[in-house]
Amino acid sequence: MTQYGFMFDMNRCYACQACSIACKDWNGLEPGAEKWMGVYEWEQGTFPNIRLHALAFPCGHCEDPACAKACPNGALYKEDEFGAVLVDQDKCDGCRKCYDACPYGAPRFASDEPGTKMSKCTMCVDRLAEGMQPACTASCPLRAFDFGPLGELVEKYGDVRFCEGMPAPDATGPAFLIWNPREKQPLVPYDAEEAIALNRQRGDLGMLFEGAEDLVSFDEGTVRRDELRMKHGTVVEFMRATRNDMA
Amino acid sequence: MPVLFNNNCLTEVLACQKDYWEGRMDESEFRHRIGSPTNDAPLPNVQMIIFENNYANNHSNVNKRFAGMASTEFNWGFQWHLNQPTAELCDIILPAPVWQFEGMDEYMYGHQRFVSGPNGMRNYFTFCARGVDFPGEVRSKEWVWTEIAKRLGDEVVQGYNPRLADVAWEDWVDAQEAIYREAFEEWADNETVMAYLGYDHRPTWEEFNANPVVRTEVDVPYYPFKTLMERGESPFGTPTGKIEFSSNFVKDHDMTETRWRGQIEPMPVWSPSYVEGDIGSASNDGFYNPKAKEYPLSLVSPVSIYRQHSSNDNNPFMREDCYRHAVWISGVDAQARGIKDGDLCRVSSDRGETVLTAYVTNRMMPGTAAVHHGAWYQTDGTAAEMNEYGQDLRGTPNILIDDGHLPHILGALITAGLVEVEKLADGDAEGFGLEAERGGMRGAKAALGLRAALGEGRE
Repeated sequence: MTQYGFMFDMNRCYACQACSIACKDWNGLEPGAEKWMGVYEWEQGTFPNIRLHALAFPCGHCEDPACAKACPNGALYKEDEFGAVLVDQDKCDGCRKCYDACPYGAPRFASDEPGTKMSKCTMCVDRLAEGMQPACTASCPLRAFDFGPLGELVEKYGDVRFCEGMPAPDATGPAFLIWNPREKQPLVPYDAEEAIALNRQRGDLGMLFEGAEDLVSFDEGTVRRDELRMKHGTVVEFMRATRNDMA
Repeated sequence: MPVLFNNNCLTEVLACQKDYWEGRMDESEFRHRIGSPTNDAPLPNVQMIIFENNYANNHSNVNKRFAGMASTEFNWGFQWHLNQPTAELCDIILPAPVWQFEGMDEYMYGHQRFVSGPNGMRNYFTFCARGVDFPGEVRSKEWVWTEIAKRLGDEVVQGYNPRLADVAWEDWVDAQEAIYREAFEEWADNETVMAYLGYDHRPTWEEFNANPVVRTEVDVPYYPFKTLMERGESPFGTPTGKIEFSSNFVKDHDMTETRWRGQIEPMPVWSPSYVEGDIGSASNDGFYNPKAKEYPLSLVSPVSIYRQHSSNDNNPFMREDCYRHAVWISGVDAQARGIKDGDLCRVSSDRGETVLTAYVTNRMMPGTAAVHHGAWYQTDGTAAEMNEYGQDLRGTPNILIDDGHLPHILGALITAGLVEVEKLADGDAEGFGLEAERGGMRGAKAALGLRAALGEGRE
């Protein structure tokens, strides 16, 4: 078995959700929480040093999958050609132990109803058998995904399998490389402190805010999408976390 | 103050005409407010409007548009959705066809169905046959116009649509298609043209419909003005026949007496007049505008990826799971107002107001707000201080944005304005402010509910 995997470039993704739709389309999935490709958005920093992040994550097809070990019915298995982690729905009774075990929240459920069968990203093994790339990889307009034998990807990109907010990869060894956000270079250098000072004053209208501290500290709950959260308590939470906030 | 474009012209006419005809506004000011090609062009007194689009909603100053629509004797039109804002003030509404797909009417305001490309060398044309028949009670618009022409008299209908004047409704679309077919047959009979186009035999109508794209090979690439330049003629209609960086026409004419009635420099000059803080010249969205005291946030209205202008705002799939229509506001401004992400807020300007969920994000610069373009004004009649027709439950930015013009001939800012945002209520755990945002066609539910309450039975 040659382990195949993904490389995801966080610098290219702009959360357009094309991958998520392509996956639903290819696999004939209904609208709703049975969404195998989750695209998470979160923001870091504040004016004028704001940064947006996006992570499109379907399943890590881990080298040592926690879900397969947790399933009491043996419904989860690693197939032997591409190393994809697949679920046999005939054996699944919807107990959700796989979800509890998976650090990434990859197992998906159409609803919160007990007994709902689990479904998940299949690595598009049906497409791979025809010599095609997975639907998500092929559909990305920014070419944020690369896909292939994991060893080749590691040689090309280096072996980094997590970004800030993701679980530590040594637990399960996801076959999912990540190109982390690059250091940003200002094209037109400016003095951030000066920008803040200029933004703050409004002539005879007074001050827009008191000082620079007001720009960085807020009551809890003021900003909602300020970190990556991959595990959720309900399908609604999952849908909110993977909704597009690019308007 | 000049108007910018025809749509806004109508709004100004409706806002001013009563004052003019009743003697409260003089002619010169009326012409300047509404735009006027010459000083003796006839003056309007619009008492019936026919709407074929979402006029009431789709440009700035929705409240002013609604007031204008309410001031006429009678309005009617074609609308696609029962809850379209423009339908609110129509006395009669006919179900509108989806031009491109249904029937054989001309579409896109005058485009016939032999269509050539909008740009480039236009060395091809296509034929757009009917996609589907009209659903339900939808009828061809051209049939409606012809029926009206018939009632205006035989001379009128014979001048407007002689060939179809006596065609029964059941045969209408086939009769339209027959006219296109006539044109095709005459074209296909021309052996010279057919040979030039490379047809190896005269195509039948059916064959043409199966492959309705006709291309002409272009041996020599065309470039703009090629024909004229090869003849040694200037393509430019300027007094000098040259491209003029400083326009002689503008120098020699009083532009305040031309159609758009505004001032313009012969050569573009940037002059920051807005800094005077004079409401007459201050930009609608800038902090030098005196309105900024009460409405301190500068509003932008970006295009949404979930709509094409206002199309699909009624689509139940473009809700909740996909997209949360909201007022975007920065962390520091939200904090100052006690607003958390998901809270229900009232967004208001000196022109109107709306109720919206807050999306708190530091991508917004302090002092700014955003409400995305294309949402529909949807009301259930709940009273609102700034809206005569009720509170906006959906959140169109157009109800917040003024249509005031700067003295400059092209000076109207119709995409931005000044607003204030204040918290009304806590949001829910999922980050929604309005229970009614859930489950699809909230706007439709509100409008249909209101109609049912008024005793209008049909869905």
